[in-house]
Amino acid sequence: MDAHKNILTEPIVDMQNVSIRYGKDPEVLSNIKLRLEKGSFHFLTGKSGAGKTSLLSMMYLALKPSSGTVLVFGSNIGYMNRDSMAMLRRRIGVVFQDFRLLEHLSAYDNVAVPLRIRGMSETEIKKRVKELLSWVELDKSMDKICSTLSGGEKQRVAIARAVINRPEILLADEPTGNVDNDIASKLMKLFVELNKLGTTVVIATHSKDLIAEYNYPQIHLENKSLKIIPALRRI
Amino acid sequence: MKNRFLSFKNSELPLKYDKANLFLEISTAVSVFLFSITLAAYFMISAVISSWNKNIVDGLTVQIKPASEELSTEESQMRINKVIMFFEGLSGVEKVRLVSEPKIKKLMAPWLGADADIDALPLPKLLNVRLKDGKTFDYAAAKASLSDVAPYASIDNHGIWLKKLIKSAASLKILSLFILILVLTAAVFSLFYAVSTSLKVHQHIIEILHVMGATDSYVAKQYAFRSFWLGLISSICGTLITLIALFAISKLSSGLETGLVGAANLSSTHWFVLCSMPIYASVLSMIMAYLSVKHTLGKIM
Repeated sequence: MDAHKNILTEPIVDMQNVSIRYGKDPEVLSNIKLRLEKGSFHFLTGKSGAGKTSLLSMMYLALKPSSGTVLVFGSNIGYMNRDSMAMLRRRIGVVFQDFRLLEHLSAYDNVAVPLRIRGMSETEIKKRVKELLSWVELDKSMDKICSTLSGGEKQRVAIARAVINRPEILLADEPTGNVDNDIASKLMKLFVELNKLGTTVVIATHSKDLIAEYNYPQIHLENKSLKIIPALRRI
Repeated sequence: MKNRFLSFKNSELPLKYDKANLFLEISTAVSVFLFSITLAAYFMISAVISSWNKNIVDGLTVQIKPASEELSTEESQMRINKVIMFFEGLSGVEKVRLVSEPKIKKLMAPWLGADADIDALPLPKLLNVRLKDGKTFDYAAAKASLSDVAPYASIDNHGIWLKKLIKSAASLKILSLFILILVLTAAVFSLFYAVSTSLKVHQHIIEILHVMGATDSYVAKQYAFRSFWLGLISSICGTLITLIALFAISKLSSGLETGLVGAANLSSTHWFVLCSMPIYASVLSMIMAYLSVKHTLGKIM
């Protein structure tokens, strides 16, 4: 029974005494501790340069800590081989602030990439991608090459690509920064729905309105350290 | 599940627009041409050496000096029969055959010209002695005994000069092997260089693919697939040029006397190997591209 309880409460992300330093520069983050439970929803806040991107990079296994231990899905990222890391990344969805789309591909193909990496059949990919692109109101632009899409459209493609795999963790860096209020509201609704289905969500944002409206706990970065600001109320 | 390897149209990496493609296509075609033509030379030299070795091992020629005019035809024939019987009596001899006069005339024609009156010349009689096992045949003993039995006959051991030729040909064979290795190494390094350059050009795309969970093998397969087709098309060109060159060489050399190098022909197996070169080249390109990507990604990312 205790073992069962342990499995249920095992954190998705567990950082212990983690510091990050780039080369010989001063530390960006120093001796931080963070534990993200399965199904949690957090906003990641802090000024520019506070280390939000570095923290997210560790969570999606693109960056190893200079010191300390980072466990993602219970695996220490400091000791993983490249293939094992790739397999773990398939369980993580990432939305970048600069979208990082494959500009030479269509919106459809961009969203299809994570499914193709998983080796899914083209029939299933077609069904899933069309459904999701329709949901983010890009069904008429799905064949357009990404370089021809507007900023808002690109952002929706990036979000669709991140969630198409039904990830266990969704990490988003300013996901509503380039879209109008209606679309932003719809995207946040998507994140909330995914969270209700069990996805752990971390959204980096500067938007006080967003934080106030959704009122989830905040992971706040300041002076190289991290503090959790609890939610005032649950919606 | 759809095979990703076969669905190149869905490749996330825009490899077909790589600037290095033209360089790779030309270098592959040239490498395949050089490799194939050298391989053809290697096959020909091997065939010639094998033929010469067979001559040394399988037989020898006996020369019977022309009989003086005082001897009757019967006496002359007896001289020949005596030598034939001598060789037939030796252990290790399989067959003794008198070379016919028309054959001797044919052999002499290139040296004396077609119009020469060969019948007027005092040509020697020749015997072809076929041995069961040339390696154990005692030439020295046979030569000594023959000088006692028939001093007018002599053994023409072409093994002595053929061995010199074989030695020279063997050197050429080693040289051609060296060239084959050199061409292969150059081709592999060209491919490795082109792939490494391409990986650096597409690094940002590969990073995105990695974030989405792509393994190095996933990326490597896209390069392998591209290299396979690029290698196939280029090597077909290289092989066609080789076949044209071999045809031209064969046409040009058909007018030459080929007594010594008559065996320098390519067998059907050799032609098969040369014509299959695009398959070997494309498969090698594919494997090398795959390994290059795996090796390079582990280092740069």
